[in-house]
Amino acid sequence: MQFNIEFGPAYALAIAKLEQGDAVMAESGAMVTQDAHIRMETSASQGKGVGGFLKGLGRSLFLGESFFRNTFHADNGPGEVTFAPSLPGDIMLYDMTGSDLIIQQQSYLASGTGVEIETKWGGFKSFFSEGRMFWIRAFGNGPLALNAFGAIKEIEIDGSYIVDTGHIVAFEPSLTFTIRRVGSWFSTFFSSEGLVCRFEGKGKLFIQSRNPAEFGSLVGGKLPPRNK
Amino acid sequence: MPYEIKSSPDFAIIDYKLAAGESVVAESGAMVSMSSNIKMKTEARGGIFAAAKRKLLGGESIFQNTFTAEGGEGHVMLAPGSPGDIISFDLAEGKSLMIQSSAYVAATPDVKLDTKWGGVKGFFSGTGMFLLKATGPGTVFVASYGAIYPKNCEGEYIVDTDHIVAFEDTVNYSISKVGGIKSLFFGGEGLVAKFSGNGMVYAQTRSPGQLASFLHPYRPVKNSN
Repeated sequence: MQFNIEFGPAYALAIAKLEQGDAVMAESGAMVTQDAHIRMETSASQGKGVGGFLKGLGRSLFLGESFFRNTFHADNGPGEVTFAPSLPGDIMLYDMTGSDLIIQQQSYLASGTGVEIETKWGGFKSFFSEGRMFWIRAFGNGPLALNAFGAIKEIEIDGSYIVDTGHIVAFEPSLTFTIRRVGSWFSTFFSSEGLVCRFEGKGKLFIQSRNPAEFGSLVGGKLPPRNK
Repeated sequence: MPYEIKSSPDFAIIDYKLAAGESVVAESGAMVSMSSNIKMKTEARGGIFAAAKRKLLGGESIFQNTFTAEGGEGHVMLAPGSPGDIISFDLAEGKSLMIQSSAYVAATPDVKLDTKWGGVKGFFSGTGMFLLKATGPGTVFVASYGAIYPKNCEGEYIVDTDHIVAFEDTVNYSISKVGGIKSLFFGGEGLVAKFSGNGMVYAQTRSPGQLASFLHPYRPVKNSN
């Protein structure tokens, strides 16, 4: 299975080419087009069988988190599936070679079947309990397609570096991090610079040039109220 | 060609040059700017009943604007509502293109527009799977949200209904869901169009529905008193 990225940076599309017998996994709802002989299967991301399915369902309903991923199988011959995220922006490829990658969940688009996804990575949990941000851990081997809101920039950290949490796409766990406010409580309240992540060590960080939550507030706040 | 598509692919706009007496027809609201000698006439094309049918079934505005250059040449700039690309299709006499109704932007005056029923499933799913059939001779302009992914369907091909821009009428389509019932409810993939036959199919790389779903949680919450 091989990914090609086209139409970047504004409205990128990931095109997965599958050999016979290959499969590709993707965030639910990401499929744009596919060859008709490709078979799609939905699974909860954790556990096997009904238990895992129900567990995934429960978490999905209660946490508002999408735990369902679709796997596209090329059982009946080679073929193609294309994927896109909900928001405008670029798609990048990351080659998993046995090390982990921590991904902001909305940035996960698709991956080869050799890449495993663990959805209950809790490294950030206590810091983001109120937010809509969830984090997943990818491990294993194979290609991984990540999407950004806006452009993607790779930052090679050696030492320490600070990034707004809403702009994080993914980072290598060789980096340690602490979450902190920027400035005083006064500036947290009035400057709308919220929580930042301070990374330490050596490793790659991928950031997106726009913050989905900022955009959501900007536009969503102007929409008529919804029912609870 | 009397027109040029500028600022493609992210914010495409049609710059249409009209010779004296020449016209172009556009979806209402598409006009961005024009020379001062261009006369705009608003009309229900094909008569009020054909227009009402288009409105009811096609989702496209009941009235269209015809722009005509008077007393000399001029130009009109036309753009769709969403960010993205525009492509033009030159249709020979009697040749047709099926267009997702909201993707239609403009056409030359001889192009005939008719509404096609997207099928019961499309109607009830709220996917806006309403189609316009544009028949030549002439040029029709179609816009996408995001980029346009062209695909030559040879046999069978599947496109998410929210990502359909247009397709040649040499392919047939049926609306169905992908995967099992579990996929429909939990898989996020809703309804898809399954194309069969040989012809070009055009998909857009972003979906207006998914943007709306993204924004929904950010809406203010109604007070329950």
